[in-house]
Amino acid sequence: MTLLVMLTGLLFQWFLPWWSGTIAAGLVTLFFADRSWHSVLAGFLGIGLLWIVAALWMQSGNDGILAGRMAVMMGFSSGTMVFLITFVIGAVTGGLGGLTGLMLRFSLFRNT
Amino acid sequence: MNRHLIKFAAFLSLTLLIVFALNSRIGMMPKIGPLFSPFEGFWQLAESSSHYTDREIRLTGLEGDVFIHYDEAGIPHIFAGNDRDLYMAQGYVTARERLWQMEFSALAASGRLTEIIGDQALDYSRYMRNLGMMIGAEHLVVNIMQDERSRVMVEAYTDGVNQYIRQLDRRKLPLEYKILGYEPEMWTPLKSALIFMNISETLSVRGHDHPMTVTLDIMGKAFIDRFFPRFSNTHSYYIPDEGQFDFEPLYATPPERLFTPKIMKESPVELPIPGAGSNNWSVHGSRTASGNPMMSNDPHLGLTLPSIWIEMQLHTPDVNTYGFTLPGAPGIVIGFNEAISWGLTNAGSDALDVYEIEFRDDTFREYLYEEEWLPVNKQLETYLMADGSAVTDTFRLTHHGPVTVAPNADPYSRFTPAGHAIRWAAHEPGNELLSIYLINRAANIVDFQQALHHFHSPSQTLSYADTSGTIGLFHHGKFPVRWEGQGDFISDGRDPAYEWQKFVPMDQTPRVINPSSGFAGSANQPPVGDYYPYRLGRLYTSNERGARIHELLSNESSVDLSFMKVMVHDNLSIDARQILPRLLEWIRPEELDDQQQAWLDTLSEWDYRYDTKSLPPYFFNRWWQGIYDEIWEDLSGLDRPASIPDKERTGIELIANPDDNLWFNDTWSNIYELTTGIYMREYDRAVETYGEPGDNWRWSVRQERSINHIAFIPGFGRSGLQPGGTPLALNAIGDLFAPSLRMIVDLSVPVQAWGIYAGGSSGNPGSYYYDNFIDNWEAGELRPLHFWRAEEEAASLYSITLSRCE
Repeated sequence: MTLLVMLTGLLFQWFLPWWSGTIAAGLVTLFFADRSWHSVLAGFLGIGLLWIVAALWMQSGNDGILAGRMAVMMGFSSGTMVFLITFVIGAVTGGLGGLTGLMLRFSLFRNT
Repeated sequence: MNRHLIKFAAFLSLTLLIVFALNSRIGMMPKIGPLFSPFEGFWQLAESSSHYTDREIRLTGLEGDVFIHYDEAGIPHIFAGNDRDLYMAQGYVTARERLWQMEFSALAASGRLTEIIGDQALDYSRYMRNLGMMIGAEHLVVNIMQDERSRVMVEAYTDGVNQYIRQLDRRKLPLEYKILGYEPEMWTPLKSALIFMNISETLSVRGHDHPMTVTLDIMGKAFIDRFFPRFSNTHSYYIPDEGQFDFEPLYATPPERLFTPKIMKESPVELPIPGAGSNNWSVHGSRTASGNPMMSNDPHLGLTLPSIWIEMQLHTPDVNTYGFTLPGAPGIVIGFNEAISWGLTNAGSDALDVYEIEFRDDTFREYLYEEEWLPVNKQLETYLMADGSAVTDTFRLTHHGPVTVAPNADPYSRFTPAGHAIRWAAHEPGNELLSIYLINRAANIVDFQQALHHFHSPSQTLSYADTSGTIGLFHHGKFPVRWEGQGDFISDGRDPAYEWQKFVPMDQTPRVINPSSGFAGSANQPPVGDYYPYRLGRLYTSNERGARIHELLSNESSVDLSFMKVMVHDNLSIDARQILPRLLEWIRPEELDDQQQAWLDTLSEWDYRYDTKSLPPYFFNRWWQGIYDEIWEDLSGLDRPASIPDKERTGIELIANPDDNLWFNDTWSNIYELTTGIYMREYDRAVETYGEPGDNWRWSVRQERSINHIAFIPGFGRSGLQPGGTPLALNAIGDLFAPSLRMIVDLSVPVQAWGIYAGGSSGNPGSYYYDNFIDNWEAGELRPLHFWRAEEEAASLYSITLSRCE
């Protein structure tokens, strides 16, 4: 399911603004998830990993020039922190999207 | 109520809240979400080899294909079929490399930085607007549009920039736009004119009138004549008297009586910062190894990243020129073509006069001129802020020029006191763009001199050399004809005699062609002696660098590339060579302890070079600065700004009259006490801070240099550079100004050149080419410049073809 979030997220964010990753995670869990930790994990890892992989892809061959400069701008000594923050922002917004999607699924399909 | 629905609503709100927060600008913080998203944020700007591959781009309005070959150093070489295509491509390429920078510079010049930076830019923006930057820019555009050649040049350039902006994938928007959170506007010819105004502001707003008036008031005229002499046998004039000034000069009528300016109340004003300057020189074939002329130029400006310069080659069947230009300005500003080379230093002649204005009353609606009350032209200026708010202010214009600081306002800045008007040569431009167009195409000295007719501001000293063997030096610009002393102090805004009555005819500016010495070189010092009939200014940069150029070139009759290279990077300070032996003479060794004595020996063995590894320069600077500060303490400690004699003049007078009472305040009674006391004080302080003389005292360690990003974004500059040099040596590297580019040209056929600039082609901090020349610049290395005669010669790393699109 993480993979599914990644693929949907890629598709969405290719054409839509950055927050469409959150919607992608939500849609996937809306249709496919059944447990909350599944959905959170899928959204969290799916979008987080997608952002990390995409960032790594974008900056391959750059020799860390940009990551290094961005790190100094934000007051860090190493570019690794910039990757970490990228992952966290993707992951948090993806995880929240997943959770929201799951709640929508519950409220639509499960009546208590 | 459905429990899941409540949970859903809660999570949805939380998600929306977080996404919204990440998508908002909080204070000056960028929008975190889109900035970090690898699909649209900064990661998009990580440049790699895929950026450096051949591609074809369609542009409308081209008459033929244009080929842009990037060489291995990242320098673009543009090959086009005609002028229009050439300048459209130049606009396109410059935008590709430097879009953010060129727009930022234009916004800065027009006093609009508040729109992207907010409050912190308000004083600066006010300063720029009240200086009348827009007045000058608008006049320049009118003049540019009146000539077909310069009109095509700026229109095609503008078109090229705008086609780049329109085609730009928003995901690839330059990094600074993403961080500061805005998008580019369309380029206009007015913005190119503003880029020229920026340079005029940097180079010709000196504002000596006010502090000189204060010094005159306190110290009297005899002091002014002694310490700020217009002419002196210690001046190293670079335009010699070779009988070339045999024309009938114009005269200006002096006032019936000199007036005494009123402003004597406290008025904090920034003093002009010494140190901005440049070197250039040309050597005649009779003094070179090859028998052909050679030329060198290194303009000293505030170093920034992206660099103030961009290097390129422009080629059509009618022109082939290579060199450096300002992003936003079409053409080549400093460079060479297949026949000539030219270089610029700042002329430094007085281009700005400050006028005392007598307003009728506190409404500031009218001011006195002769016997009449004339209306003040008022305009409301609105400063938009980054947060959408606005601040308004009144701009006041007199017939002299703008009132740069509102009457009764707290003087927020710079150079001029409140309630005074300025007249500034940059408000009256020629057609500097046409001048550049013609210089780029000049084949000989006649063409070159004709091109100068359109060059008014900022006044420059242009070095010249050509392949037919001619060299020359031109101190050129639009200069008012001044009566003796006019404009040295604050002028009377009521009296027509204080106005600029006439201008020096464009062919009567100081110049020398093929001087008998066989060389000509300038370094911002006083240009010409009293054999020249016009009075162009009083306060120039001191003579150390100029004298060093003269000394080195007159001692070498076989100049070649390696000599020129050594000369460009020469770290010897004439200031140190003149004053240090005297300071050592004046010291009282019996008062020193052993360590202070030992250090004295090190100083006395110094070769006066500010080399990176050298120990003495750091201490010598402290010592001499300490003495200098003590001497002028009473003048510098006032609550109003006074002009203080420079180190050179202080040193000359100190050596000539060491017992003069002027030098001693209450603490010191004679020259021995002064020099010894400050030696001991500074030595002990230095030891306390940095330990015994050792590695910590090395010039490079004590004087590490930084190059900041233009908008001071941390991490986007370079720090920890150790290039050596000092503002008073030819390798004039200082805290604020340094050789921004270095260029040496050999006017053999074919013309060859070497150069470096402190930066790189790209304005993208995510590019290797952003700062790829800095290491070479720091190490004092020059690159051979690839000056291709034809497109077939081009050995490119990759190429962009701009093809015609119907």
